[in-house]
Amino acid sequence: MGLAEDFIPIVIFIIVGLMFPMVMVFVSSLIGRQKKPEPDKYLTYECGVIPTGSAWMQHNVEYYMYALLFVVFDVETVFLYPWAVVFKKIGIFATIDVIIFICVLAFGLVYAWKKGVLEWMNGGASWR
Amino acid sequence: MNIIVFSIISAITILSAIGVISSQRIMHSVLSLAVMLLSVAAVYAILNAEFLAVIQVLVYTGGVIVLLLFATMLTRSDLQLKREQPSDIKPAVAAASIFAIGLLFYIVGNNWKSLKGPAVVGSVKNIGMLIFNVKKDVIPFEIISLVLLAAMVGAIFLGRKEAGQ
Repeated sequence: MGLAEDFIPIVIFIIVGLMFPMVMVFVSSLIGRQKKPEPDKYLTYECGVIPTGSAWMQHNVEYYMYALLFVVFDVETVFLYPWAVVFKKIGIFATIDVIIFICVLAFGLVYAWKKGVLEWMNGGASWR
Repeated sequence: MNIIVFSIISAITILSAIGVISSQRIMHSVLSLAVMLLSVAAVYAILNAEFLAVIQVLVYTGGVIVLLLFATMLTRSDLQLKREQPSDIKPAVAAASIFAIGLLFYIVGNNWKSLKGPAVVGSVKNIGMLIFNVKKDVIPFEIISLVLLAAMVGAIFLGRKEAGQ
């Protein structure tokens, strides 16, 4: 036992999160039942525009750079999390420690910015 | 109570692990992998290793799955994954079976009753106190940031070179 009670809110959150889309899809399938099926009605909804091509196209490599940066800062979060939990107990020394930690990693962000990783090469158009 | 929760979680883990290797579409495989990693995090949570659970969610479900999804997005759709049966799977099946049986014997043969699990050691507060309260751990902590910086700069350098071509 022990920690199981602490996770009851998370379990409720997961259940609600799973139920929410299910109920939405179920209710809309009840309301939107098609009386007269037409081919147009079976098109994938794409904000009212007629969909073109497959949903799985080749995206720009810039997205991957964002993902790489995200993973690095994700790992940074892992180290900041225990610091945030014990923040009130520990002194100013650890805070300076963490500020140096963040500053060193900020250099990486500056480098990425300088290298133009955060910019789109061809005006953002991602299809071929 | 705990054994019921553990059974449910391990059932989800095993089912989603089977889903990873049996899905026809690579996207479904990645989704099953995400579910599997999340349920492993839940296993950590019921073992009171809350920090490990958080890391599992952050690094694996957050980072690794994002990288896998982006890798899928970047591949061309005409490279549809075909689940071909490898020509000879017998050695692989034999090796996996031997490993599984050995693992089973090891699990059954050991006296796990003596292990109470990391009741307090794994809590986030303890880890935070251990990392930040000891003065001599400052240098390793800062070196971690340098390692992360090196990884980031290296990834950007290699990625830009690819994109520039």
